[in-house]
Amino acid sequence: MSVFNTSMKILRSKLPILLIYVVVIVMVSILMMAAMGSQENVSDTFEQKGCAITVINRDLGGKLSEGLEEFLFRTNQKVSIDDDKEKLQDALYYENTAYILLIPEGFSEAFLAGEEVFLSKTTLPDSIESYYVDMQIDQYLNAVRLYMQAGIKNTEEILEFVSADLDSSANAEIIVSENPNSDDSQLHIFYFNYLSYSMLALMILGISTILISFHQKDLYRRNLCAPIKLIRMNGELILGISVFAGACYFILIGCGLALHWEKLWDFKLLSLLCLNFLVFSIVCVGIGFLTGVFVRSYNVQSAVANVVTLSMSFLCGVFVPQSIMSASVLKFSQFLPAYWYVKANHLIGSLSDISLEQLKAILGCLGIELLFAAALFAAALAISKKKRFMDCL
Amino acid sequence: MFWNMFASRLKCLFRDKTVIFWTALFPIVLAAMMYFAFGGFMEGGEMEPIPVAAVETVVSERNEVFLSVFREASQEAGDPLFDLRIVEQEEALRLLQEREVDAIVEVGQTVTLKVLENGLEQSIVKSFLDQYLQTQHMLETLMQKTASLPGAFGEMNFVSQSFTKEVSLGGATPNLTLSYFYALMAMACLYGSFWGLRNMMDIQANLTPLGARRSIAPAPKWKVILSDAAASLVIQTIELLALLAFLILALQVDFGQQIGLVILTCVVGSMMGISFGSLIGAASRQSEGVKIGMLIGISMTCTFLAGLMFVNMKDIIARYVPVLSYVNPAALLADAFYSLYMFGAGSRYWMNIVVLLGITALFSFISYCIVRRQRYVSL
Repeated sequence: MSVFNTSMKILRSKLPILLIYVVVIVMVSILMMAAMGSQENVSDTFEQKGCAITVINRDLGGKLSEGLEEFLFRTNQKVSIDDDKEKLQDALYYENTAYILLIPEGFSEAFLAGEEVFLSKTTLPDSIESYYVDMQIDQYLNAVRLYMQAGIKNTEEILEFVSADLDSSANAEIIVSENPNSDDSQLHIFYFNYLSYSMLALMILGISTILISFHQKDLYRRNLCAPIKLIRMNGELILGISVFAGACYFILIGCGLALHWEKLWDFKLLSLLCLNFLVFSIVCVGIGFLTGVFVRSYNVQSAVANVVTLSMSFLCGVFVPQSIMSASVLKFSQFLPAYWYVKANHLIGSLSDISLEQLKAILGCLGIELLFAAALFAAALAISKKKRFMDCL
Repeated sequence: MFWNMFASRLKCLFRDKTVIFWTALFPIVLAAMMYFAFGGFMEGGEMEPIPVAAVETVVSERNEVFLSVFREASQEAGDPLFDLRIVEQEEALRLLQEREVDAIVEVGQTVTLKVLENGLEQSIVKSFLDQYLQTQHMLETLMQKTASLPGAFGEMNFVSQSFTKEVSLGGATPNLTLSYFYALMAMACLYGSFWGLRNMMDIQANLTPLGARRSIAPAPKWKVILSDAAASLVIQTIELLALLAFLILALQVDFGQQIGLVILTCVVGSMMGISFGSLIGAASRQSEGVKIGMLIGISMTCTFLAGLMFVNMKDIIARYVPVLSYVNPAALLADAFYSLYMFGAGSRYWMNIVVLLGITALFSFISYCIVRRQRYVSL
């Protein structure tokens, strides 16, 4: 087993770099859990969802502006920011607030006197939030104006009427969904998507390191003279690669189980996710193999590893959810295996009951991944055969 | 003498393909990938009509009026608010379960909204329904009131009016996606540290044979260091300008109006990156591999805190741990690009530049102190 032992020794020398990718995914996962953990859970009663708005009220003591402010904060979250241009711009840019409303001085008085006055708003361009808040402001002020036109003079009386009007609201209820939402708030799905990045990086770096070492021209020629059959040498190499891939597979899934054991406890869900990941791991081995055949130096190897993993992850919806990517990019991504892996994960995440139709869709994705793997291995074997032949001359 | 050394060094560095890849090509590839991934919302999201299914369970005149108002809101020229489908109960439930519509509006004795989850789209539908009911309530109140004021009803203007006007706070349009690219520029600047590291490796006799050879050359050390630094600065700046041109021309990333100052920021960023690499190269006694690992690790941590992986990170740090954003060179660079875009060349921009120059001077001074007058034991 000298070839197998040597390949393990080579991997051991690369261990610190390989470990980085395990640490990265665990760190990212923990950070995402911290960032998303505070979000509200799914509720079973309807709650009017508001947006984060900032009201700068320069109309101090104005009854109308106070009433409006109170009305807006019934459903929207108040974000207090100092009346400072730079701070307001910062908050809007970083989306800490979605709507900045400025009530000018003397607004209540002018409005109630029937003058044409406007409120100033600053929003993110074309945002749905801006539409929503506009709707509420206009509703409130139009109501006040109508009462004024009806001849009611007393401000307090008008505000009372308006307040009573605004109390009427439509019934709303939440229906239990048959398909749980498959969005990216599901951290365990996010984790499995992210696994593709780590696994791909590990496979490319690990496998190509072994192959580069064994395929150095002189070393390769020397090995051919050794009293060991070529088939045995290759067999041990394949065994080494398989042990490495298997170890990475179980370590990464183990980390996932440790982090998300509550969610992944579901046997059906876990087994499907693991199956999908297993198929994708085979694709990763194929990519690693192909890289190892092509690349001859360690400098090029890390460049290839980074470019391939990052491109695949960015284009296939690992880092950025597929749901917000543009359709034309996604069309292109279909030619990359990670696209199908991520898609299958989402299908599995939204699976409620195993129906034949849904299972078919998932198996379809897995089938495409396997085809990718087959193509990669075929290409790698063909090229390697040609290259080895040249090296022997 | 100086120019001679400078020219040979320039040639020498240009031939280092690995470093050229990491400092020039890698950021460009990463930028292209980010652009493809975020392309969907670079243009700013247009508001899509909200898909709603309406079901009329009780046919009455009152409900017909309501549906006609609803239909009107779905047919507004330009940007309709809803994409309305009037269907049967079962069909509506199917559409909702398959998430083809965001909400069902049941119009019977009362108006009822049915949704699968709480969200802004659902809230907008709810708001619309509320408005309708509120207006109805208001009209009833008005009818009672105006009964005593004959003629008042006729003078009223029922057309809804808009009372808000969009004003800009000055400066450019906020677009959070830009921050990813500003953080990427910061990363590219920090990657200049590879040049700084290479310079230090090639000058210390105990690290490389080249260093040993150069140490015995009859040239003062400061001249060697200076020519090395100048050559790497030239290359790094050219690479950054290529990245900048790629971002602005090919990917249409907006850097604001003051291109001159954007270029200045690139030059300052290059100086900072190179001095950072020199510091690591001079201060640490580890092998080259470990030093490169340290460079990548530190650069990645800094750019992570500046928002390369998670765009709000820079803002979170600035609000909760403000000290960190003054000592993190990547955050300073990203903020320099951001403030140039958002506010133009103001005090905030210049402060970033001054702090960056300060950090650069400190790093350079420390590394110079370490390598100057180094003596090696003769063997």
